[in-house]
Amino acid sequence: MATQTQNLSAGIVQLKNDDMPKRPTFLQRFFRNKRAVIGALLLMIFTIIAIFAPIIAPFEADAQNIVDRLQAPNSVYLMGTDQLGRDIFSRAMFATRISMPIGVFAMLVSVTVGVSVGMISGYFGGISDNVLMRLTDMLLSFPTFFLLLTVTTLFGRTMPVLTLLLGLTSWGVVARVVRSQVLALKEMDFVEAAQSLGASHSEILIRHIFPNILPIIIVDATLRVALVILIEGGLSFLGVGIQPPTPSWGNMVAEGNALLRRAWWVSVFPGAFLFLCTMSFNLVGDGLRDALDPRFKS
Amino acid sequence: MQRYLIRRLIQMVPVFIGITFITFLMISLAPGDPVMSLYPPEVLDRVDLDLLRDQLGLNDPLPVQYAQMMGRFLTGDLDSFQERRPAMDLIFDRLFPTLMFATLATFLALLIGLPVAIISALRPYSWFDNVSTVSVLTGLSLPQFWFALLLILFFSERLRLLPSSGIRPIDATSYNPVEMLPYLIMPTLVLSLGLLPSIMRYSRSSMIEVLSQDYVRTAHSKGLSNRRVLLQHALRNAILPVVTLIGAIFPLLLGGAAVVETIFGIPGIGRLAVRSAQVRDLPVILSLNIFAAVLILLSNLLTDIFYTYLDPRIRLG
Repeated sequence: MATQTQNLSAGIVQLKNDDMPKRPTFLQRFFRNKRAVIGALLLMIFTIIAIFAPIIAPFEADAQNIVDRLQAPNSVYLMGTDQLGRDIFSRAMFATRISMPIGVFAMLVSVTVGVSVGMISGYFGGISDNVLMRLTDMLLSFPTFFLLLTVTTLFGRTMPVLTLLLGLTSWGVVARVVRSQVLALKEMDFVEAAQSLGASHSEILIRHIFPNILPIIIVDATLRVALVILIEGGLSFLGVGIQPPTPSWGNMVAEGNALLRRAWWVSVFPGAFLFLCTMSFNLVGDGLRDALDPRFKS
Repeated sequence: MQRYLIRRLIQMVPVFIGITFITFLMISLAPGDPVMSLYPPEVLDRVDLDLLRDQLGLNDPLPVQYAQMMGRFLTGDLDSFQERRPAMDLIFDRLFPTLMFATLATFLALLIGLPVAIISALRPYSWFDNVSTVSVLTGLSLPQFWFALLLILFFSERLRLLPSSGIRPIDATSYNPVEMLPYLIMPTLVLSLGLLPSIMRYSRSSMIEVLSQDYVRTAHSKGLSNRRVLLQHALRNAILPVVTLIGAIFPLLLGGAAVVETIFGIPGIGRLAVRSAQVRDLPVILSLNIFAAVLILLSNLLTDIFYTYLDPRIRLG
């Protein structure tokens, strides 16, 4: 603590001095972490695949070539073909355009709801806190995967429905974390200062409290995308997610499940795409957490 | 303690009603007709359909349907649409394999996770710790269904070592653990993969925190051996938060059960959930959701109670 104060006052005196030892910036800390860099690169590759799949994929997603069905990987079909003679490599690339947007948009839904609930609950307390937290308890007591199985069966298995459902069932943890942060923050002097200056509740929440919880939200959001993509994969694998012929990594693995003995490549390669994509979000999220606050390192 | 228990049980009532009502509401508001999946389309004609709906109570107003369904659920005669016998019977018939694998997977995950986490915590940022951090991230990213297929591909197809489906030999008449063993290995591995990352991550940070406490330094300066400090002083306290985690992994286990039981052909409640969802068997879906929610609520309660035995500082009140 003492050294920190000294550094601080020294810094003020020598504000213009370039010799002053600098604390590495956020980006420097992030890029010093090898795992995070690998994750960021992977994530970039997947983003490029998602955007440019129609241009870079060697075949159309549904292009069938029955003569070439169940071909092992070769120079034309890099990852082999499935039972209808469709190119696995191309289909896996097109699946990126399904799973990544589902992950990202479901995360946005989940974070929006979770942060709003957490902030209102923590800031206002009282009855609203009680009601919202019981609602959160309820959500967290739901056997989520069973619930998703049920709801997707009942409300359809299209991309928008799936995205919304995945988002609406996963905000519980975010809400709790944000609430506990807000509880601590609202006792801080700067909030009291803003209050005494006559700031409205919404102003305090948005301008003073929100920026302070943003780092935690960003880390959670990144890791959440990975989680959602995995759950979507599981649902699609079980036949209650994205429906064929629309390619999703989960339903591609399911199609290969029955052919495992004859054609391992039909399920192994799409699964590898899913794994690497999830991994990229997890690596980046982990790197962000370390870079934002070394104490969180886990 | 008694008063605490009663209060907790009373608190569970609104959550329970909320869960059942939300589940019921979703089922009722969903588009589609549950009657349609009862019989193949070619044998259905309009008159039969209306009669059938009437018999199943699907023509009544929603609140009446909810009250009826709950009444029948609580008295245990909510019948499955598909099999015409109580939904809870279907669930109890399939409970054993699911619970067995859940228990095995939890033990396996603790058996691997705790020692690795402790060694990591002793030397943070060492090569061992780095390897285990990467393994945690890999485990978090590995889709369980894909991992299961890779295992089958390798151990069943290539090496022909392990059977790829069922929980005992087809001609077996009893549940003999020795005969069952080869059938248990792969499903347990896959299921525990879903728990391992959280257990490892959680125990490691808990252990690191405990190791930096004053009483650990005191124990060291008293001249106690490393081993003794670690096992008798640090571990006991580090393991506390992990206990709460075990209560929280129950939903994870149920989700994993759906995937694992489907792949390995295990007759458990996970596969029942997938199948009932596919054929829109409302009473079974409803019962399964309620049943699982009650299990989760109870496991949370048990965790809290167990916690007080491990840590006398915590008073329930």
